[in-house]
Amino acid sequence: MKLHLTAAAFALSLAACASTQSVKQETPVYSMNDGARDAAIDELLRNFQRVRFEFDSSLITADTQEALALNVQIMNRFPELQLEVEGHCDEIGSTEYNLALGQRRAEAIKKYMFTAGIESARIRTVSFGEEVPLAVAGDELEQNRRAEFRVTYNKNHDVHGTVATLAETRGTFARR
Amino acid sequence: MILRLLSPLFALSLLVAASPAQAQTAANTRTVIEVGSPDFRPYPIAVPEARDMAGGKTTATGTEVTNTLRFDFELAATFKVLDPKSYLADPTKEGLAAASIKFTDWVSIGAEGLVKVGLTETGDSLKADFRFYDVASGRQLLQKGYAGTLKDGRRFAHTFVDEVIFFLTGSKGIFRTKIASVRKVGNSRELWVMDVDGSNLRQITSNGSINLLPNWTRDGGGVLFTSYIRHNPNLYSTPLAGGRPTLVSGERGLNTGGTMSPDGKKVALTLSRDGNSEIYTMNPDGTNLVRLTNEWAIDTSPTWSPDSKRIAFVSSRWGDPHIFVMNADGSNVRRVTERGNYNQTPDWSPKGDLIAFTARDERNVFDIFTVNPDTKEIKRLTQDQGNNEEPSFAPSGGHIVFTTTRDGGRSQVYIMAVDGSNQKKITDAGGFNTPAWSPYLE
Repeated sequence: MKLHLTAAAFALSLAACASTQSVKQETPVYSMNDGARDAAIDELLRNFQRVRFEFDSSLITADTQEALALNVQIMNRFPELQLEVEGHCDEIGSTEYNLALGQRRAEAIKKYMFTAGIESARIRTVSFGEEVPLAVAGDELEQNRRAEFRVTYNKNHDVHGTVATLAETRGTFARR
Repeated sequence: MILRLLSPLFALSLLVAASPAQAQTAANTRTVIEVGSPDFRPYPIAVPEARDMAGGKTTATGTEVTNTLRFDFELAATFKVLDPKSYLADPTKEGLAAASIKFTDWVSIGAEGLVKVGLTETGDSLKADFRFYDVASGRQLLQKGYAGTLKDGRRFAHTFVDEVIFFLTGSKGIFRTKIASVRKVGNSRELWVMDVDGSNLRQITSNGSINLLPNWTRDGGGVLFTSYIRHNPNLYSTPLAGGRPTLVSGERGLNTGGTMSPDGKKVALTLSRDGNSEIYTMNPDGTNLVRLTNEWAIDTSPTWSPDSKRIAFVSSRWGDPHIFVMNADGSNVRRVTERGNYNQTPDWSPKGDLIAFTARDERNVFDIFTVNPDTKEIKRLTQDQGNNEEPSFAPSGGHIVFTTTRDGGRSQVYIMAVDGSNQKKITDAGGFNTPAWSPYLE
């Protein structure tokens, strides 16, 4: 549900931002074509959807690595893009441990992209632990093991919506 | 007051051959409870209805006082409250004074102690006369008078139970302490505070953000907690009385689980400022930050030993999360849970002998355990009743508050004795997590 809403909000906010910019006539730091950048951001977020974590893990899987490598290329092409990476967890385990785990997930993504050449100043991390679940019951709880990504550029213009990744894993664990 | 002064000697006299003076004290109080002794048995106590001194009928305040007394004595676990249906005396007729009490009626139902309460309600004002009798001798052991308004009835009852417990055991009672907890409502997480019986539930933050992990300041005047009010999990302190939270630690990344050392000199917390969650200590004003752990793993959830010399915490440095103990300078790290593969939320007993924690068993169910940090002996306190998590010790070390899903639906706050007995529900509202028991407040 939230996924659909954020996707819609995302499209709207892109449009809104583009018009705001033309009215204010702000000069972007990098004079890139808006359309090309928007397409790149779309691609960036699509790739981020492949980011997955296993239970109690912050390891970057092979598929996630591939997605991050593609996004490093995009980030290199559009140096004005900045990322905020939110680490999230399922409800299994304690509030505080999951805050640490979410932080580790976000940091693992940052570290991977940093190692591949993205300045660390362009990636901010924040953990929400188990506090902002996508799913609250049933078989979909594993979706909560995720990172969400917020793309910003031309500071003061927080464009984006988030796109969640669907995580997987070792069987489901339902509890209320 | 004299009792209070005598108490350390008094408690000692139960364990060692007493000097004549101390023996006299013990004989006078006819103390029967030896907490922790191998032949301990609950002390049978009768708590008849509080008597309305004016009209003789039961008032709402009277019922509240009676119920509070019974709840507290039951929860205390050193008592067994005798079933009111078995009482032979008519509470509207039998008086408060020893001369008017037919003690044989109380002996015959098995009571050893008897609590009598007389209430005088005048408009909104309330006068209460509480008495505690030794049934066998017919002697009055305690009498306390309290004056206030009708809404103070419950507090008077808590106070008197604390008095009786102190009188009998030499240990401070816990019934005037409080519990802070997070409550989930919709997308927000706010801090709430309640009395030990769940009454006086009150919201203490209302910023609509995510507020987490309350821990009491040493004086009990406020709580440290983590909040996202500035879009980063920062550590704040807020007074219970209300007022704006003050920022204690606002490092980029995690600032979680701030917990003050029992001597009040340090705050231990988890920060991720160096790229990974590590445990640090700092002065309560945020200065003098010292990093204690240095592992590429999760290190979090610090809890202090009562002498402020050691810290227990959770670490995944050996793979799965386990409970570890280290010195307060980070040296001498030892793992203390050797079983299970998912042990979290340690809370060190104010008595020092135990660390309570949450463990997940082979069926993926969470339960509460204690471990002795020195012998590593483990005891299970909850079983087969939903998930039970996030234990926090009472300042006496004799009780533990925790959350459970055993009632179905949203998680509730329960209290139990440290051996797992007398598990009692104290909330109805639901949605609670990470309860934290206050220090002594009076």
